[in-house]
Amino acid sequence: MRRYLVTRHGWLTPEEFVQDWTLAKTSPGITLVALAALIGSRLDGRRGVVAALAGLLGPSAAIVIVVTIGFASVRDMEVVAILLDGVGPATLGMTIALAVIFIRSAIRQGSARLVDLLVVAVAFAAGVALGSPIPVILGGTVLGWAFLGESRPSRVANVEDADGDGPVPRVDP
Amino acid sequence: VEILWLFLVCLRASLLSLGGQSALPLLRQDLVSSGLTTDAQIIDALAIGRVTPGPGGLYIVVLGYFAMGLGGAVAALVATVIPPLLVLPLAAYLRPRLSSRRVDGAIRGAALSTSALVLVTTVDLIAADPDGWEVWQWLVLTLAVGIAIQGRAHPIVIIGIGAAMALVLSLPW
Repeated sequence: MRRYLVTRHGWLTPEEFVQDWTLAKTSPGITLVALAALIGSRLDGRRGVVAALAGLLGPSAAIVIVVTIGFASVRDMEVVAILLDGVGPATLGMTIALAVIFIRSAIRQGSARLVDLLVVAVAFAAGVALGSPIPVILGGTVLGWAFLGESRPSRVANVEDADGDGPVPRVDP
Repeated sequence: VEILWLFLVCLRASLLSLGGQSALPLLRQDLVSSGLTTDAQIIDALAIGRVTPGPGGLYIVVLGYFAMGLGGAVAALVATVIPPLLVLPLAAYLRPRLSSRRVDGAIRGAALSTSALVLVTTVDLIAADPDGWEVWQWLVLTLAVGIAIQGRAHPIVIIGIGAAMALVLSLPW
């Protein structure tokens, strides 16, 4: 996305892209949707937002639905069940990796690192003990608001990673 | 009425998440406990979300389909797109405050706690497998974590490795 918008077409300056990317990462929900909306809005107001979202989500959502329908029709075949025995662990491994990458990009440097890792450990324990995510999310956010802030972000956005969902480099085919 | 409930579940999960993946704990809590989807379907949805182009967070659309067919997929898509759009009206307020201590801390607290909850959910999903995991499946998981953290391989490759191992091990040697 960055290569296309910044390098090839020059529609955004690298600084504008970093600014939108940083903002998108603070937004609720899918980061790429927020990024597309911000860039669309910057380029052409509301029309830009609609065009950006249609471009980002139209084809991909259609493909996701078609693949899902196809998958649902073969899900009960024996060979598919066998394959899924391996697909499950691979998928959960990627899910763990994404969470680790997300944690790594959020924790601060220096001694504050230990505090942040402790927050992760406590949130994990609370998640297991409470069995309900909302108190943990709200507690973590309020705790962060009160104690975990730095007056400057601990880590400059890695622009080269900005092609993905969340802070993760993702190669789009 | 059920579609509206699904829409609200997806909307709440997306509103309380940073990045698509962190909506997972809330979605699992609501959809599995209500019997609309199974734990196995959650893993299938994550896998489809990863191998298809576009944001990985579109696994929520797959879950919508599994829960209530095409209408559910559309409801989930709309519910997933709305929260990131909140960044547009908030952009003017947030831009100058991105480097403020409070905002930085709140985002960090939310990122750390939601990521910890994703890890809790992953453990729960593994534990919920009625067959229990064999040693090779733990190996696939470990391998997937390692490869995905490097961020260089496309998710299709990682899932392909898991599927290939499952297939090879199922052959009558």
